[in-house]
Amino acid sequence: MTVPTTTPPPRAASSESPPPGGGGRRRMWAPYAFIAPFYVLYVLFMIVPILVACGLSLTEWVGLGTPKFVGLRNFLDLARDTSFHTALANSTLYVLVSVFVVVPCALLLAQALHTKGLRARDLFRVTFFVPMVLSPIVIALVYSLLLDTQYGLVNSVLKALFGGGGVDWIGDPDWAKSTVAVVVLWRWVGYLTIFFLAALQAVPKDLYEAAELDGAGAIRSFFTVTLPSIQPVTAFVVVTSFIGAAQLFDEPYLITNGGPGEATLSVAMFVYRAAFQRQQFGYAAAAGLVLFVVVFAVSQLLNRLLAIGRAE
Amino acid sequence: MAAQVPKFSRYRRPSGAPPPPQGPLSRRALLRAGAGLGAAAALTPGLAACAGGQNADPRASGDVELAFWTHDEAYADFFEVSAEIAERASDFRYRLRLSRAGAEDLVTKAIAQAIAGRGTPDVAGFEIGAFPRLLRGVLAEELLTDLSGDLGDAADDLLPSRTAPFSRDGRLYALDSDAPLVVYYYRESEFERLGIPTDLATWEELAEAGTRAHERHGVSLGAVPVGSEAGVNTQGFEMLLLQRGGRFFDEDGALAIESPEAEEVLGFLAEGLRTGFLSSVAGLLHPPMQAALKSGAVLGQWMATWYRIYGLEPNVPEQAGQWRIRPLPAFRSGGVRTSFTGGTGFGVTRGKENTLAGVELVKAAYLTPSEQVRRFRDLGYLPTRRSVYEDPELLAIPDEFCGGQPTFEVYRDLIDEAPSIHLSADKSTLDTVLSGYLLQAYHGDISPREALARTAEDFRGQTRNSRD
Amino acid sequence: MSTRAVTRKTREPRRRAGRGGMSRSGKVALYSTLTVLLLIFVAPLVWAISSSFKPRGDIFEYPPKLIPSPATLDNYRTLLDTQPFWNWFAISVVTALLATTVAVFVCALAGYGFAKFRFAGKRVLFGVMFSSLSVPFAVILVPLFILVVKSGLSNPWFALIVPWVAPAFGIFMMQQYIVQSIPDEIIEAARIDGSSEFGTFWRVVLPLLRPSLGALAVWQFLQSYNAFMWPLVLLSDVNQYTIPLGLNILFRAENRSYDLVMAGAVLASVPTILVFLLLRKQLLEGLSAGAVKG
Repeated sequence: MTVPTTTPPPRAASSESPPPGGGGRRRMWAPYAFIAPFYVLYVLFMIVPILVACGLSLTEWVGLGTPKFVGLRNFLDLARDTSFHTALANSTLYVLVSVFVVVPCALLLAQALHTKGLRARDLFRVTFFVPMVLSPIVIALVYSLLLDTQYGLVNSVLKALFGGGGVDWIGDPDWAKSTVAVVVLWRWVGYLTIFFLAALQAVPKDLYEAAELDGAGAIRSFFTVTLPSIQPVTAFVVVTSFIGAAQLFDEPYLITNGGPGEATLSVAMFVYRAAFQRQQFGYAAAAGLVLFVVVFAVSQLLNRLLAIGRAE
Repeated sequence: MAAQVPKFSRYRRPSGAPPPPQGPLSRRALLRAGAGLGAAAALTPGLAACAGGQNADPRASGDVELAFWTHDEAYADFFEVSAEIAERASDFRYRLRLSRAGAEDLVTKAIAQAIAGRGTPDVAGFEIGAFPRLLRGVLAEELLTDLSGDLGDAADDLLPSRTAPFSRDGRLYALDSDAPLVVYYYRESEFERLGIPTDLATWEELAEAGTRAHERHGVSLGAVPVGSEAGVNTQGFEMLLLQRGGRFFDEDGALAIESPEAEEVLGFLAEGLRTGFLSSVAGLLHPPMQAALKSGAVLGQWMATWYRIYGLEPNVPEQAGQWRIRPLPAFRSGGVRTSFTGGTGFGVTRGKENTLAGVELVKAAYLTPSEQVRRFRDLGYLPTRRSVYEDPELLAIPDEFCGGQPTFEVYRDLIDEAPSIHLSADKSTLDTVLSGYLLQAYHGDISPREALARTAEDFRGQTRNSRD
Repeated sequence: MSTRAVTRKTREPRRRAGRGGMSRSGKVALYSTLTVLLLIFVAPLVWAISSSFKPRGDIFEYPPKLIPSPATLDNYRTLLDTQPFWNWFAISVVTALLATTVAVFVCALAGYGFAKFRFAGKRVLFGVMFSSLSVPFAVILVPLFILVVKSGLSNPWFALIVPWVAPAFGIFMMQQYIVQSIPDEIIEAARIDGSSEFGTFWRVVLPLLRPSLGALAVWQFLQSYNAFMWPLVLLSDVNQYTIPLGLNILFRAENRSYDLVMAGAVLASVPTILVFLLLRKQLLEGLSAGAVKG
């Protein structure tokens, strides 16, 4: 699931009015009543599951029978499980691709769409967003047919143009990783672009004029004006992409099934596989918690790091 | 969904499944998890409270509505007729409520419902590739009835090679609906046109002829699955491995993949792919294979009995009459002329109101000789009782898709050569690991020996935490 | 840094790409790049739509025909005749609408609470809410599944909406929007008129939130409608699948009914594409507004 997140530090940026007089008692509980529904759901569907995951992670359980308390053994096993290492490495790769390929591509695309006097800007913007609107299963289906090694359209075109046997998009470990990465790029880039585009449109024109007067070229004004001005949005997009990529499931599950072997296995897939294909619920819960700790820590760190730059 | 009210009772299967573990114990186990986490555990009231607690008084007669789960809709009609037979043999009157799910999903869902303590199927068909998941821990024991005491006169007649995969510790959890012998399918007309002999005794000879045919006409005599489904990829390899006398797991469920047989078979496939005698496809039932068959790029395939019905006929109906089957060519260095792949075991959920009715239904469907005959006639699934292989009706049936060939004769001649299969709860782990190295070996990136050694190493690394 | 640049270069006002007018060749390059990209984005979809009208055997034809010949509606017909597609459709749409309604309401309430009130523990509560954005769903997948199933709530009409009813992102979006566009005076005026706190929210604030609610609603609908992992572990009855799950079972069926799946994929995408195209402005602007102005 792709929950967009956003970077401003975890504090309520608000214009709250000083508590206007009147209302008194009534006003005391009102805010709590307004936020209560969220926190009830939040406790039920977030806090409780996390606590249950903690309990479960200390047990061994196939789903039926009695969970057996095993202490920290699941975590020790994870530390030695080559498969989990592979999943961590792959997820790290997805994160790196998202942050260092997808995000820059989105920025470039936004910059292009921001060109003054561009016609059909809305058409481009909307079209690039469409993959985000489609079901991952639809995307997976279309791509696995297009990329079939023997008969897929992409290889047919490549063979017609360059000869040779085409590329084994899904069967070769390295290509399979690239395939997943490309589909992620295809699916996410348009979505991230709209944030950059909105940010670019919000940069005050006089900043550019000043830079131009300074004699700054396009490239330099990009680095001295554009980047600093859109930094908050960049931070937002980076954190969004990080969290989205760290929990990537749909693409590797649907397109490559984690394969060949485990070449595209992600951590989220590892959790799913352990619980629902291998009946190791305790082990799955432990792996989930490891993912949680890592993602949570890194995103808090990113929030701090990126937001600091913004405050100054 | 009919809610199954869990009730404790004296009811036990005759073979005596162990008493189901009780809830409070697990609560205690969880509570030991430490102060903070103990609170978490307390939040999961009855995490295991109804685990195994599905114990309802089974009905012995009357109207029953069975929740019937299958991944293959063809079974729905078949079982309607089986129900009539079961009605004659018992005091039940059946209604079947069909649920369909993918082979893997079906197992996942059955377990999920068992966790929920309700909504489990009464009778379910477990595809052999997905069934091993139930072998982990106490799952099969908790979920399924032991049928070993219900076999009656069929006990000695059932093919041991088809009961072994669904048995564990002396309990039989499901009856196989097929004895899916592997044969070699070939397009006779094309073989003839290209001058490829159809009676070559060994794979090596066929490979030689195939290589020449590929050089001259660009055709292949078989396809090797290399798609994104691990189980499909390993299946292509396992068929020939079993034929050659190798196997994935031994009788005790231990990994047995590092063998000279495995190395030879893998080497054979890799070499076949290199020379073009074989070609690679995403899967033997998938559209790319259809494209290959349609265009005549692939003219033969080793595959199970059911491949004619599920693979060839729907994909290349226009080639009806052109195909034939024959025993597999043998490997020069040993082995037999056939193999197994696939199969679906029908099991009955234990401790439910409909358990006895389910058992009667499965017995009627899978132990009655006439039903075994009908199953081949209607669905193309081979009998699992040895004696039925001598049935004159079956031996005489001409297969129109295979140009009128009486295909059952071929199966009869092969059935006694069929190898045994042993499953392991870690089969899916093996599929995942092996599939990756198979592809690398097929590409020629690593040697067969290395592929198998790395598979074994990774497999052991990943199953360290497997405690079943 | 830029001051140094000023002192050194003070000549020719330069016309730069990206800002003022662009050179002709620059324009050609820009438009052709964007158009190529556009094609890359659209081509798979066009191919999918075209393939859905082709007989099963023609999906891999090369070169592919854009307009299928022979064209056939068989894929659609078979899909609708042999699969409970309309059940899938109903489940998907109804649960997505339910989840969206609940989520939008919860977010508007909480967003308002955070935007317009000062109260003890606000900072902490906001931080807690905010940090839930970085909890990967895979973490709660297993326990949530067990809780839902164990508590007997695995009825799909209920269980499917569970992960989508309390999105912290939505609260943040609402809070930002309310802070920026709803003046305190309006609320104060309503209070002075004797309106109850909830009455103020319902009659005064909520109507003003409409654009932002629209964006959030579309987004939540898409999330829930397209969700895959949660329905995958949750649903067991093929008659009660969501569309993505239904397509998945066809996609993974032994014979890989690509022909049917293609038709299903096209049908499945119709509602989301329609919703998106109708409300695209609101969605695209609403989504980015919080992040940009925040």
